[in-house]
This record gives sequence, structure tokens and C-alpha cells, in this order.
Amino acid sequence: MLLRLDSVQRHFGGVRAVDGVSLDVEKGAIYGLIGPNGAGKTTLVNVITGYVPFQSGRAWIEADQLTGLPAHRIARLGIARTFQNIRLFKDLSALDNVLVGIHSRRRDDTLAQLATLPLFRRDQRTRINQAHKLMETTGLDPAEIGRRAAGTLPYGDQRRLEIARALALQPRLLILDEPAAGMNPSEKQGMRELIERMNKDGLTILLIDHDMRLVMGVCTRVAVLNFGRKIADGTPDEVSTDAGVIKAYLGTGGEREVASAPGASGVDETAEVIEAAAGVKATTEPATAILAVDDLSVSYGPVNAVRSASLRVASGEVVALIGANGAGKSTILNTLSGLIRPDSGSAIFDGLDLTSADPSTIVRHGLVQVPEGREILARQTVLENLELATWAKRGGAGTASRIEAVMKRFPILGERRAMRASTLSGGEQQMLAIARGLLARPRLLLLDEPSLGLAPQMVDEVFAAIEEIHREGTTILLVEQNALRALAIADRGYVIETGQILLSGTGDYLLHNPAVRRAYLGG
Amino acid sequence: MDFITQLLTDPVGFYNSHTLLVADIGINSILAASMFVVLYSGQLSLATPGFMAIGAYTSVLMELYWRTPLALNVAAGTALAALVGVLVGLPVLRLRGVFLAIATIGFIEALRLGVILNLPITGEGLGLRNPKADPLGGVNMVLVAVVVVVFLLWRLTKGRLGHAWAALRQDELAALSQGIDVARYKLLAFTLSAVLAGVAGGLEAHLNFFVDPADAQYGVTRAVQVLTFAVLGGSGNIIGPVVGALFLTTLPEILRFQGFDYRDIVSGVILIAVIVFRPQGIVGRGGLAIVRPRWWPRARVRASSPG
Repeated sequence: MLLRLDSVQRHFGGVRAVDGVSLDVEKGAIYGLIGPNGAGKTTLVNVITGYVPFQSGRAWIEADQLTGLPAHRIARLGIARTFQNIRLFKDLSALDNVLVGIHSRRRDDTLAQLATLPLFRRDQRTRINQAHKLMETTGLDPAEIGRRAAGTLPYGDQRRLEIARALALQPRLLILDEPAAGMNPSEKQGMRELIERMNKDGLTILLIDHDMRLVMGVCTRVAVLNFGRKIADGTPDEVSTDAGVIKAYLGTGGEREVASAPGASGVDETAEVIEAAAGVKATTEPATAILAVDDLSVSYGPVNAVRSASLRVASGEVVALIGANGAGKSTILNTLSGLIRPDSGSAIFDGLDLTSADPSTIVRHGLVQVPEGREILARQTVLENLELATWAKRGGAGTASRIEAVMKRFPILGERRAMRASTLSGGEQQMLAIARGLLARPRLLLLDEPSLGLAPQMVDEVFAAIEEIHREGTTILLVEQNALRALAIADRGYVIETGQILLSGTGDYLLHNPAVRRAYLGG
Repeated sequence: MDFITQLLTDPVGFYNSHTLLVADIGINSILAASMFVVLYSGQLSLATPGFMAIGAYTSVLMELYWRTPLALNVAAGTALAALVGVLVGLPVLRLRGVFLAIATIGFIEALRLGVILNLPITGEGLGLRNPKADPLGGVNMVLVAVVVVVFLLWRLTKGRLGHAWAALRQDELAALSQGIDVARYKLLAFTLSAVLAGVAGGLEAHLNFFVDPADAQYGVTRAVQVLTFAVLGGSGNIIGPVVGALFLTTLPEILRFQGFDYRDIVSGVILIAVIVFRPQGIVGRGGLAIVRPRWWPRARVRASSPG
């Protein structure tokens, strides 16, 4: 056993980020660590690597105990890592980044270098050669990019350079935290080959990624975390058909049983897809749409987040946009709200061009977004939060009565009007965020992950509220990871995977389509 | 203009008539180097004048009471500055950015107002007379010290230590992941900065017949001045801060025309211009290129006919 975790625990306040996780990573394995957003994967990595102290539990790499050691000592014990958001030394050259990695294996030559001894020069040459080799291992050309500042490299090269730097530690274990995030399919393929090549050279790898095709394709074993607990662990095949895992990823459809989840019962998937693909899609697109998005492409610098997406929302509909973490769902919403500008494509909301209009104009036109993570003002009271939402129309008639009306809709907010928003539970905060959105009098309400991080019965309440709002006549575009739940209340849905719309159809049609499961769990 | 004319036509005469200016440049260069070390490792510390005061007072007091030789005095002042550097550095280096700056300002003000102005031995704010000072002889030692300091720092930043400093300046978390003991290297930088400031203080005290506990000498004003050397010159390598010190120490002399009373204003304008058009400092990446700020209108390019 190379890495052993024994009931590792880490809570942040009341949040059990890592709750008694035990793992055994065998030498030579590519071990996958997956789980929905907020499952505690990165926290677990931070605990293993010493960035976040252990609360309880123990961990060893081979015979060396990791518990209680500072991060730099753990790195020297041979656990190298990369970071979810690349953390290169941006202003240093690519070569220097790798040379820093060689640091810990280098004896202190401060005195030698002061005198510029030939010994120092020779050592320096050896180190540079080593760094060049490491860069070549990860598929970088040292002659071409060695002298360039790391921050100026293309995105994919930065990911590779971070791995080269990690390899400079000559690690026993390499932990990759979402190495393929934001990559296009061919870059992902390259990353997969790199992971396999490093493994073949004898390196044990712990891989975290949301791309299930990558994880299921490359890993020998996979562990699944949910709400800080390990809910499954086994071969990729075992894990991807495990009912508990499917439930964790796709959510539950309220009254629907897990057994009816797409693919869970092991139905003949291909036959079903072919059958289902026969024309359902074409007929479900509405003829007249209040929101029409065509060929929308959005990128963050070199990262293509959304590629040529098209969708329609007709007045009075609930449309669900579902897909795994990082698929591009929030990017689409943020583009519609005017917060991000697309590279190409069009988005028209009731005659308003969303790709060029001001965010404030878009809100006034009736398109209102309730952002992911609620973004309420935690230190203001509930009432103050709601009053701020009417700021744009202050002095307009009936502001106070509209706030009263919203509080009647969400009685819990009325009861807590004088309390600070930070003292509300997650579900109540979500209600507040939705109420705030409603005060802007939306004709189209964009909801971004309303169930994120909520306990199951709170999810029920939030979804009940969404259905209520819809019945009163608001059109809704709903983004959710909790796919089954969203599809259960949606008239239609779109499935998005790595920035592309894969599939669309009625809520019922998608609810029984195995492709939905694959978009989340690969396969 | 006499100043530059003389420098070009009669360097020896210039040196003889401006020895004190040259010494000033040297002292300020060492102080700039002290600032450079902390900035290079990503610590916005303004403690340099405090360590400088420790070096100066220790050295002069040893001279006055024990009559020990100058080299020993300066060495003892430097050692004490280093010791205080470790003691102050251990708690304050947990702070970052502007919080570290404020904590170090607290240190230098507490030292100056609380200790130096109150102890009978330091003259209780009246300053110390130093009859053994040697303004003209001291300059040679200062120049030797500058050369040694610049060479050492130039080499240090190229090696293992420099790599570790650069790494933790860029990203402490990533540095940890490379096995770099961030806390230790920060403390090393802070202490080395204290050592350099101690040397500068000891040497400067030997140039003046009077040790003056004024703000412009050992207080916040001095700290800001030294920070300006490093920012203006650029802190990417050791040459930058030294050039900054040279430039800012000489500028008032260059602008010393007969009957011209606005040289401070001109210095200020030049300073702002450098920050705006050369944010990386005078000695920085990009050769002599001038950076166009975003708000500056683009140069209009006249459409030329092909051919």
C-alpha cells in the first residue's frame, strides 16, 4: 500500500467537508477520486498534502506518517500535487518553474554559488538538463517555451508545466486536481496519454476530475465522495453502475425511485437511444420563443467553455439545462445576463440582443438571474436584501407592497425579516435569492443551481417554490446538477457536456434516456 | 547644469567636490538593497530604517564608551540588528501585504519614539554627538560595501536561495508544494534585510558628526524613501534598487539651479512619470520600452499608401 488514509476527518464550522474517509491507494495504481461539486475531494487532497490540518484520523505514505506534518515536509516525503486553479510561478520562466521543483532535492550550495565555483556551474548545468528532460516528458518543448514566462504559456501547456514541476520532486505519489478542466477533447486525450505514460514509468497517481470519460477510462480504481463521505469504491465499472453513485450524481426525482434512474437498471442502452433519437428532438423545439440562442460560443482566454450552443425557451415554459460540473451551464447563463461576452453566436431575448446589451438593460427588459451560490449580502438583514433588490426602481409605486407580497410567498422570509441573511440556513438563503430575483419582475427567470449544497428536504422545498413561481406565470430556465429533479419539473431539457449541447427533448424523454447518465458518469 | 558638465569634463574634481553626495548614494544603495531582499521574497516590509537605527546607535555608542575599532562597532551593530530582525520577524512575518507594512511601521516607530527618544544613553531625542566621525575617509568603506553587497545579492538571487525566494514571492502555496519551507525562507530574507540595514546604519553614523533621531533619518519618511528607490528602480534584480537610489539621490543636485525653488515638485513629477510609464521600474523587463497606460490616447498612425 502506497497511500493509506484511516478515517480522515475535517470539518469547517458545521460543514463536514471530509467525514471519516478511509482509502488505500496501491503502488502503481491510477486511483480516481470523484464526487459531485462540494463533495470534499479538494479538501481531502488539501488534508493529505498538509495544506489543511487533520482534525482526526491518520494517513501514511508507505511507512511515513503524514499526520501533523507541514505541507513542505509532506512534499519532501514524495507527495507532489497540482492545483485545481493552476498555480504556477507566473512571472518566472517555464524552466525556472521546474528548477524550483528540483530545489528540495538540491543540497545547499549558497556558498559555492557566491564564489561562482566551477562546481556550481556544473551542477547548474545538470539541473537544467534534468528540467529539460522533465519538460519533454510532459510533452513540452524546452527550446521553444523554456525561457517564456509561465503565465504567458497557452492553457494546456500551463497544465503540463505544472505537472513537470511536480515531477521534479521525484514523487512517490502524484496528485492531479482536475488536470483536464477546461480542455477541449483533443487536449483531454493528450492529458490522458500523459497520465498513462507517467503511470507506465512507475508513478502512482491520484486523479481528481469531473470528466468521467477520462476518469473511468484511465483509472484502475475509483472512490466516490459525497457530502464528505466515501459512498463507493471499486473498479470504474462497479462504480458507474452503483445505485448510490448514480443517485449522488443525478439526484433523486422526488417521489421517483432510484431504480428508474436512466441506466441504473441496466436496460439495453443502445436500443433505447436509437429508438429515442427518432425525431423527438425536432418536434419539441417551440416555434415561437421568448429566448432564442443560436451557435453561442464562449471562451475564457484559451479555454473554450461553450461551443456552438443553441437553445430556445418559449413563454410559460420551464426549461432545464443539465450537465456535469464544468460542462458550461453557468457560463451560458452568465452570457445571457450580459456578464460575459460570447466569441460568436447570437442570443435574443424578446427582441433584445443579449450579446451587446448592458447587464442592467437586460434586467430591466425582464431577464433576471439568480446566481449560483446565492450571492446574498450576508451581513444585511433579510429585509435589507430585498429592499436593495428594488433599488433600481426606488420611488416607484408599491415597492413596499411588492416586498410584502414576496414575503407572503416565502413566509419564512417574513418571519426572519430582521435577521441577518448569514444566519439563515442554506435553503432559506436560496429562497431569499429567488425572492430577490422575483422583485425585479422577471419575465424569464434564470436559476443557477438552486439545490447546490442543500440537504434533501430543503431541495424539496426549493423545488416546490420554483414550481409555484412557474404556475404564477414566470418562464424559467433552470440550471442544475441534480438532473432528475430538474427534469421532473421541466417541460423540456437540454443536456450539455464539455461545452456542447448533446441532447434535447421533453423532460420525460430525457428522464429515461441513458445518455443523461453518461453525460454525468461517462461510460 | 554645472553639475553634469563638471561630471563629464572633470570627474576627479567632481568626486572631490561631491564626496558627500557619493557617500550618500552609497548608503542609500545599501538601504535599497535591504529593501530589495524583502521585496524579492514578496514581503512588503518597511522595517529597514529601524534596523538601520540599531546599527547606527550601537556602533556610535561602542565608539563613545569603549573606543573599539570601527569595523568591530559596525559588525556588532549589524549583529544586533540581525538578532532583533529574527525576534521581530518571527511574529510579524505571519502577516501579508499591507498588514506587514503596517506592523513594520509599528516596529520602527516604537523603536524610535519609544526607545531611542527615551533612553538616556541614546541622548533622549537630542541626538548623539560623534566626534570620531570621518566623512571623507568613510566614503571608501561605503563604496567597498556597496560593491560587496551588490555582488553577493546578485549571486544569491541566481541560486537555490534566490529560486526559493522568487517562488514564494509568486505563490506561497505552490512553493510549499515544491517542498520549500516558506516560513524559514521568509525569515531568512527578513534577517538578511536587517543585516544590510544594520551595515548601512553603522557606516552612515561614521559619516556624520551627529546621530539625529529624526523621522527623516530613522522613521517612516525614510522607510517610504527607501521603498521608493526599489519601486522606481525596479525590484526584479539587485541593480534596479541601486539605480533607483542613485537616481533619486542625485536628482535634487541636478535640479539645483540658481534661484530655482521648485526642485521638489520637479522630482515628484519625474517620480509619477516613471511609475506611470515604467511600472516595472527603470531597470526591468522590456529594455527601455515605455509602457502606454490604458488611458493614454493611442498614437494616431497616418494611413500610408502602399508602395
